[in-house]
Amino acid sequence: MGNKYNPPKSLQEVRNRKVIFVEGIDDVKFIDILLEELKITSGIYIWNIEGKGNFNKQLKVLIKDSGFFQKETIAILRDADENPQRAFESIRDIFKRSCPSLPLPASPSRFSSGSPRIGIYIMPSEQDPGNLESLFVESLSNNPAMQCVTSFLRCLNSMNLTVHNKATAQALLCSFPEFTRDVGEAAQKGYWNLTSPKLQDLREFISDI
Amino acid sequence: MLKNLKINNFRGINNLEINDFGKINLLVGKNNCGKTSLLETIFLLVGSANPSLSLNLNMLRRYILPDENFWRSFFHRLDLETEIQIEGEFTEPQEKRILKIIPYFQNSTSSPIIEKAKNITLLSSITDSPIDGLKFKLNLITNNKENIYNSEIQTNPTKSGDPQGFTFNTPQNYKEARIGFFFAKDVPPGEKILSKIITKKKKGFIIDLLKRIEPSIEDISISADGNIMCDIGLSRLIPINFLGDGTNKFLSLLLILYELKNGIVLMDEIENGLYKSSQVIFWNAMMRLAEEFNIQLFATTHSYEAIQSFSSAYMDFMEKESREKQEDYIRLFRIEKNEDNFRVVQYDAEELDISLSSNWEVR
Repeated sequence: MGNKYNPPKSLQEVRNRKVIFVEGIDDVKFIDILLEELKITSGIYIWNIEGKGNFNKQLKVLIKDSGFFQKETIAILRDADENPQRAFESIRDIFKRSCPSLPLPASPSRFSSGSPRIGIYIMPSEQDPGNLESLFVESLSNNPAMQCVTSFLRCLNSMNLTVHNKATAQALLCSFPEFTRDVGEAAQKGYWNLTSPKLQDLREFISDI
Repeated sequence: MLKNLKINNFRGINNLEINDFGKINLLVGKNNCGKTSLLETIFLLVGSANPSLSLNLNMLRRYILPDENFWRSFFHRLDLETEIQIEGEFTEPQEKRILKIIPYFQNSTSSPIIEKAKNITLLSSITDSPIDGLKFKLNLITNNKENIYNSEIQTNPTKSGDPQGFTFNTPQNYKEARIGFFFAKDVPPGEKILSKIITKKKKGFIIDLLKRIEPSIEDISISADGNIMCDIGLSRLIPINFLGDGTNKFLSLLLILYELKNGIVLMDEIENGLYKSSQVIFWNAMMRLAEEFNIQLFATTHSYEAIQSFSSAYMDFMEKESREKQEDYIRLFRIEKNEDNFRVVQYDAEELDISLSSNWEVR
């Protein structure tokens, strides 16, 4: 069987009855730490789909895996990007097209009652555009360094410079003592505020898996 | 082309339905999931009024001696009460075939003895009684018209020491419009077919394809005693079977496909005798021939390499032939069996390619 950084060859190979599909390695690292925080140390496998473009390609094929219907719960975590509702619908559509009879959740952050139960969580939240990095920033909204980051970004904007949509998170990462490349590594180093109210919905979703 | 198939109570299959077959179909699944039985039902359906096919099928399974289970083995759980029904929907021409198979008892004069048994609750004694053959009832539905054709096969009573014989009854007013071939593991190359091809001066086509798998072959011919000989640049011709199982199998299939225009070819355990590099060439040739002669192929495999070759050959075929994507060209079907429940999972070319490029298991 593969490990959490290298997906296995089939869902049947995954012994865990619950699987979370995530967009990339940062999500794997973050969810792994969040599961530890929630004292969920076994029973859930985190499957890296390796890029949001692969959700469509890979999920429709994974539904055909002989192990899919042996799972108790399948959860999908994906970024909202510009439109959280569209992100949610895009995942629902993949399931609908590939397996019309599979019961699906009517809204994000909920689980369907079928077998397997399906849940879709959109980050940073079902209302807001953004991504995992946005959630990281929001979890640290009370961090004193945020004032500096805000001023820095304001300065860049005043110079009409186009900044990367993950610039806030990157700038915030600079405020920590050790060099940290991304928010996944930040989770491993304990730089997220995992008890932030902004993470409450996600905590509940993960606990519900 | 066979598009849809429903099977009830045939061998290990109690109930199975597969829809949307393609031109070239690969069947996968664990041991004993019913892959070979599925090929057998297609074979019976394509030759619905030819009762001797059932005999051939048992012989292909090396079930030669007609003992008490010889005919019973066609019935699910060997239970003669469970009527076999195979239903298929075809195109070119559009038609539906419903083939029912019931046991034949020599002592029974009209309706099956099972029917009587149900009324007098003597099921156990009846169903254990020796069965002497099979009765076939084909319901052929075309243009909303239904025609029924009956046929049967039975084991002849034998005297001690006599070889076992069989009697067939086929419908007089039925002419089979479809043609099928069940390609077994050890089908010898078809000398007669090759002879016809040579006479028509078409052997260059066969040699070109054969050279892809065995480049040393310069020519093929038939010896005075009827063997297929090949010229590989030596001082003498050598018999084709000196070149190994893979080349033999490849030639056999090429010849059958060449001969079987507009037909259905069934191949069990396709990977046997073929190395991976040869398998891509093999599939590529099959795709070319299937296209050229309008043949529908059904094959089974256990091999991941055979599936990879199948997919690669298709991509290669599409590219070389500069063809537009055809939705129903290739299909992979995985048959999953959980006790008596069957589930069929279908992959099209794109889904198969995604799975294989991710190294995911599809078998």
